[in-house]
Amino acid sequence: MSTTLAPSTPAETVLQRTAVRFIAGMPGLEEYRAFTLVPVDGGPVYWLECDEEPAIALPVAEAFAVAPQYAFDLYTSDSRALGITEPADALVLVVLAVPPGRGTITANLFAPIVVNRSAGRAKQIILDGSKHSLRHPVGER
Amino acid sequence: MLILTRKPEQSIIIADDIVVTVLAVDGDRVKLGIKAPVDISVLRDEVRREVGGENRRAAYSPADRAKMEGMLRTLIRDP
Repeated sequence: MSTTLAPSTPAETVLQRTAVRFIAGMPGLEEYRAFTLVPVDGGPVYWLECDEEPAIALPVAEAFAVAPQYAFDLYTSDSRALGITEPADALVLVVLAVPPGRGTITANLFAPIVVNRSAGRAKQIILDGSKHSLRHPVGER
Repeated sequence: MLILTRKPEQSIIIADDIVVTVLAVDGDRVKLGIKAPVDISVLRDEVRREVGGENRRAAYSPADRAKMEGMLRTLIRDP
């Protein structure tokens, strides 16, 4: 059985700085596990700042705030490892890509970051085999 | 790294319930069959690398962050 994460999941914006601990390193950033989620003006956009390497921070957004049609299933092995028993336990973030100069901001819907809201445990899930885009347009610059 | 030699139709078993079978070998292409519990994620390495490339491109230094905050605020106002 899997947990479906979709916009019906009650959205509760994280207003404070929140510690996020990755149970498996994100692809490309495998060596870093400890991050802090820092809201930009109270969300739904945040900096995911690396605690171990100050030169690394990723712009992320609450997935359902920037992509209202977005939904995916979480593998049981992942929901168990993250301690997520119901959709409301999960904060779903997507990494934003900002073009240099003018252009369209995109969100990586193919590899969402799922965070256990209360425990701060997190994993970037790769939705291989899905139609979700690595670069889904979410806004003009 | 454990290295095993297999012929077509031969398998290896990982952790009791994951079976990887060589189905066919055709020149430089190997067709694999993977039988695993439904809750196990199976990924092609290049897909993971592609996501890794996106993550590294999205990693900004403190100097860049200040410049980008205005842009991030446009998403807040107009999601």
